[in-house]
Amino acid sequence: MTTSSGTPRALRWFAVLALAASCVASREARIDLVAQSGPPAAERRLTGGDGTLYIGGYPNLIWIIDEASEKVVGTIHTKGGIPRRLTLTRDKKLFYIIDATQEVVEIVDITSKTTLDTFKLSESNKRVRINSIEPDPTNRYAILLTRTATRAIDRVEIGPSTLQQYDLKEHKIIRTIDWPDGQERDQANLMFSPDGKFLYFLGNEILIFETEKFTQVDKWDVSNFEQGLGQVSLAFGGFGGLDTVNDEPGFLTTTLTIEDPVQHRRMIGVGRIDLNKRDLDFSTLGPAGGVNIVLAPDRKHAYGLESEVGRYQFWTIDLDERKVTSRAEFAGRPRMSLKTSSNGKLLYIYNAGHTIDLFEAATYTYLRTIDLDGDVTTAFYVVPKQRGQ
Amino acid sequence: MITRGRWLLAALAAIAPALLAANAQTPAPGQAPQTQKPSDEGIPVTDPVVVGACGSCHARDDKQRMTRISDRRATPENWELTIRRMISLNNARLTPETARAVIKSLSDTHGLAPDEARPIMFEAERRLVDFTYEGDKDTHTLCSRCHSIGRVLSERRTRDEWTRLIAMHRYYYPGIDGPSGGFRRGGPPPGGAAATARGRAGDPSGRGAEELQPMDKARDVLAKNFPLISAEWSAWSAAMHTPKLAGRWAIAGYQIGKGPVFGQLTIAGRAGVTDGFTTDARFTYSRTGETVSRKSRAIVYAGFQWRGRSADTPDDPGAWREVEFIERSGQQITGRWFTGDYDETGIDVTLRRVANDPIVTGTDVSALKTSTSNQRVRIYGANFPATVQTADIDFGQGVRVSRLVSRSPDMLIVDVDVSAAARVGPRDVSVGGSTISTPLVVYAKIDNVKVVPVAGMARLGGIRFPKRPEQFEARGVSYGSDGKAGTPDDLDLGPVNVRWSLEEYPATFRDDDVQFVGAIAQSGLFTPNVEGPNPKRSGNRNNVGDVWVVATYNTTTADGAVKPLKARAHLLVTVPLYLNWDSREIGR
Amino acid sequence: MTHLKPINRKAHRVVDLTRRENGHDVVALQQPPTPPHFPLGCSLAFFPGWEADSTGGTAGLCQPVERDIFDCHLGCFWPAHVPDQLNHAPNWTGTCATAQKDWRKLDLVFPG
Repeated sequence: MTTSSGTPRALRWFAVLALAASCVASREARIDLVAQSGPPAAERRLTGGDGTLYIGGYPNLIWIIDEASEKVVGTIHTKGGIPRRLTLTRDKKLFYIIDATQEVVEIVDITSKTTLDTFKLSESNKRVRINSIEPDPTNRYAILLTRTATRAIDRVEIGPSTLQQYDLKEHKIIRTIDWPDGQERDQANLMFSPDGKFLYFLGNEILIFETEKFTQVDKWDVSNFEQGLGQVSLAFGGFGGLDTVNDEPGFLTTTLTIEDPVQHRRMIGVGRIDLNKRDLDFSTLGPAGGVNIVLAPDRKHAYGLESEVGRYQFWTIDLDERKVTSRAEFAGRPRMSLKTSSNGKLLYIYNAGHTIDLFEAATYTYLRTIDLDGDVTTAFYVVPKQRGQ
Repeated sequence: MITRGRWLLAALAAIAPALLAANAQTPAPGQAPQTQKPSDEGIPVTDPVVVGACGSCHARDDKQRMTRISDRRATPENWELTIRRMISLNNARLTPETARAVIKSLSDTHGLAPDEARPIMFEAERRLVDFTYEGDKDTHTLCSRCHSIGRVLSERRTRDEWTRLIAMHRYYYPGIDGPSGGFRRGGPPPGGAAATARGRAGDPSGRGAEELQPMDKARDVLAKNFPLISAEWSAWSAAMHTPKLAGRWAIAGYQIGKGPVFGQLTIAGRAGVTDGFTTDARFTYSRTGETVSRKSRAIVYAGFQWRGRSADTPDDPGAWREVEFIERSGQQITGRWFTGDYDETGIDVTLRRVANDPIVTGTDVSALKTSTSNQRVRIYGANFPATVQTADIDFGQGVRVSRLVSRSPDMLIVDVDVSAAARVGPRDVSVGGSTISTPLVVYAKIDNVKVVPVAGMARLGGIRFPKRPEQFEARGVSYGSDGKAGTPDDLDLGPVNVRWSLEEYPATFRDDDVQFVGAIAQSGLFTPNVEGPNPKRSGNRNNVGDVWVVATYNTTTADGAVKPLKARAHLLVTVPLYLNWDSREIGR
Repeated sequence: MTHLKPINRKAHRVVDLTRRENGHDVVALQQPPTPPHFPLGCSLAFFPGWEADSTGGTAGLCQPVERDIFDCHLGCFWPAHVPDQLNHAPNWTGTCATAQKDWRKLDLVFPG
C-alpha cells in the first residue's frame, strides 16, 4: 500500500521541477466557445503525466496505456470472458473483474499481468449473477451483491438481491448479510474503511457496519445534513462503480443535488465526505443540470462534463474557491465520460467505442485521440505513477 | 450475408461447450427440481402432437393440463416465438413440420377469440400505427421499452403465468432490472449526478420498496385485464370452426402511393393441411392499370386468423405475406398483404365472397367535384348483369350517371355529371340492389392537402443490412359544408399529384440531416441512404436524421393565378435493425 | 415590470397582455409536456436510444451509432433491436473488434 507520503526526496524534487515547468502554461479561465483546432505550441507536447491508464475492452483484455507516450504498452488477457465491471483495489495492485455474463469474477495482478484467481457461484441450474464486488483492503474476502436465477425444467425463478461475504481463499460464501432495515436493494455502493474495520453503505443515508459480524453500528443521514439546507441527494458511481483513485483514503468526493426548503431550487454541488469523522465538506455551485463531475488529482479542482443533446460543455470547478470558474461549449457527442489525467492537465473523454480523446484542461482545446484496437467495455482508470514502485 | 439462428446454435456448440453446458435444458437425473403443477383453471392440452413435442419438460396432470402451456392463450405469432425460444435456448428439438403442427394446434386450442384479437390485428399485420394501451400508461411505457405493446396484448395468462413471463425476461436479460429495462427501481440511472439533478433518480442506496416495483404493477394490470379465462374465449372455443372459404372472392384494396386495387381471387382447399387454403389472385392497380397475378398458400388459425404466404411450395417463405381476419359470417375477410425487408409495403384488402348476386366493391376515384360533368368512374364488383342500365346506377342526390361507357361482370365504366346543387359529403354507390358504402365523396373545392403518414420512418441500409424505404402520399382535403378546417365534416379527397421535397427539421442548431438521409422521388417514395459511419459527415456520424417531407400542390385561383398549397410530414431516418424476429413458420 | 405604472391606454393593454401571458406561462410550466412521437416498436430505453433519442430525433444517438454496438450487445440493452450476447448471439461480434471500423462484418441475425 503506497500513499503520497512515501515519495523519496529525489523524486519529490523532480516532481516540483516538473510542476514548475508545466506552470508556464497559462491557466486563464474562458467562458466562450473554444475552437477545435490542432495541438498547442510545437516545442512543448502537453501530456497527461507519467501515470498509467487502464481500460477493458473487447474481446477479452485490459489495455495498459503509458500516459506519457499514450501508447498501449501491455495487455492483460482475461480468462473469465469479456470484462465488464472493473474494480481497482485501493493499493492499485489488483483488478477485480466481473465479466459480461455477470457470473465470473477474475482477480488479476496488474504488475505481472496475470490472473491470480477466477471463481463463480453459478452451478448446475442456478445462475448467480454478481452485480458488484467490493474486496476488503486485505483481499481476504469480498462483499458480493448477487441475485440468483434458478432454472427449473419448465420455468425460471428469480431470487432476491442478496449481500454476501465471500471468502477469497476458501472460495465460498461464509455469510449472508441482512439488508439494513430488512429492505432489499438492487444496488449497493459499498466502501470499506482503509483499515477494513468498517463497511459503508453509501446513499443519502450512509450506513456503517462493523466487519466482524456485519451488524449495523451507526447511521449517518446525509440527506438531512444541515438545518435550512434542504434535501441533499448524493450520486455515487454509476455503471463503472466508485472511482476513488484521486480521493484520500477514507474520503469520498461526490456530486450532490440540493433542494433548498425556501425557494425549492435544485442546486448542484460537490461534496467531500469524511467517512471517519462523518463530515461532509461541500460547496454549492449553481443550478442543477445534467453534469458529471470528476475530481482532479490535486484535489483542489474538479472538472465537469455537461451533456445535453446538441450542447456539450466542459466545466472547471475550483474547490478552494468553491465555485465554477469556467464553462465552455465544445464539439462533443452523446455518451461521453470524463476523467482527468494524472497531472491534472488533460481531460480524457472515453466511451463509447474505441477512442480516448484528449483535451487540454486549461483551455478545453482538443489535442489528439488515442485509438484502441477494440471497443471499450469497462470503466477507465487513470492511476498516477506509484512512488516507490 | 444472413445468419440463421440454428447455424449459430451449432457454432456455439462447437466453440463454447462450457457455455452450452451452463445453458443445457435437460437436467441430470435426480437434479431436476420438482416442477409445480398446472393451475386449476388451466386449459387442457389433448393433441398428442403437442404432448409429444413438449411433454418431456412440461408435465401433464390427470386432467391433461400441461404446466405453463395450459395457463396461457396467445396468437399464432406469439406461439411461434415461444417455440423458437424453446429450440434456441432450451434445447428442445423439433422438426419444422412438428413445430408448425404445434403452432397450429395451440393457436386453435389456446388462442384468442375474434373480439380479443381485433384491437391488436395491427401487430400481426406488421402495421406501423400509433397505438397506446389506454388501460394503464405505466404498463404501456414499461412494456414498450423494447418491443411493440401489441406483442403483450396478444397474450392471455393466469396471474402466475404473467409473473413467470416477467421472470423469463429477467432471466434472459438481467439488465432489465436496471434503468434500461425499468423493471425495478433500485438506484439512480447511470450518469448519477445528472439524473439526480433532474429529479429523476431513485434513492442511490437502492431502496424504495415501499411502492410496488414497476414490473409488479404491470403484472397486476395485465393479470386483471388479460386473464386466461374470458367470456369471449369461452364462447368462441365452443363455437369455433373454420368457415368453408372455397370459392370466388372480390378484392378491394388500397396501397399507399399506388392507389386502389381491385380484382378477384379464388380460394381452394389445400391438400393434407388442416384448415389450409390456396389462393389464386389477379388484381389491377386502377390508377396505372398494372395487373398482378399471385398465388398463395395459407392456414386459418383459431377459425378466423388467416395467415398466408405468396408461395408455390410449403418451403418457400414467400415474398408477400397475408394476415387477414375472417368475419364470423364467413362472407368478408379484411387484412393486409405485405412485403419488404421491414414489411413496409402493404396493401390493405377487403375480400367479399362472390356468390350469384351482384356485389359492388368500390370505385377507382375517391372524389367527385360539384359543377363538373363527364367525370369518369370505374365501379368494381362482381356478377354485374349484362342488362345493367344507367338508371340502375345510383350515386345519390345531385349526381347523374350520364353514360354507361362499358360493362363487364366485374367492372362498369360510367361518366357522371355532378350539379352545382349536389351536396358535399360521402356517398354510397349502388348498382341495382347492391350497394357499397361511401367509396367516394362529393366536394366543391380542394381546400388543402395533407401528407400521410404524418410521422414516417425509414431505416438506412444497402451495404450490409436492408433498407426500409417510406412511401408518402399527398391527399386532398375539403373542409366540408361548414368551411372550417379540422371539423368532423372534413372530407378526404384521395390522392393528389404534388411535387415532393425534403426540408431540414432543425432539432438542433447546425442540423444538416437533409444532406445525408436520402432522397425522395416524385412518386413520394423516400429511399434512405446507406448505413454505417459516414466519414464525410462531422463526427463520423451515420446518415441518420429527421427531416420534413414537403408536398407542394399547385392550385389555380379564380383569376388564374397559381397558388401552391403545402403540407408536410415528419420523417425519422434511423439505423437498421440487427435482429429480425418475424414469423417464419406461420402459414407454411 | 411592477415598478412601472402604465400612464395611457396602450400601456395598460401591454400590462394586461403581460399578466395574461405570464399566467399562461405558469400554467404551461405546470403541465407535463406532450411526449414526442416514437414509431411503434422503436426502443424507448434512452441510453441514449436506438432508433431515436428521448426527444424523438437522432441528434442524441451515439456518433456514430457503431460506438454503442458493444455496449448494447453486451448489456442486452435492446434485445429486440440488437443481438444479445447472453442468449441468442454470443458470437455476433466474433470478427468485429471495433464496431466503427468493422461494422461490415456484423450479420443480420434471425433468432431461433
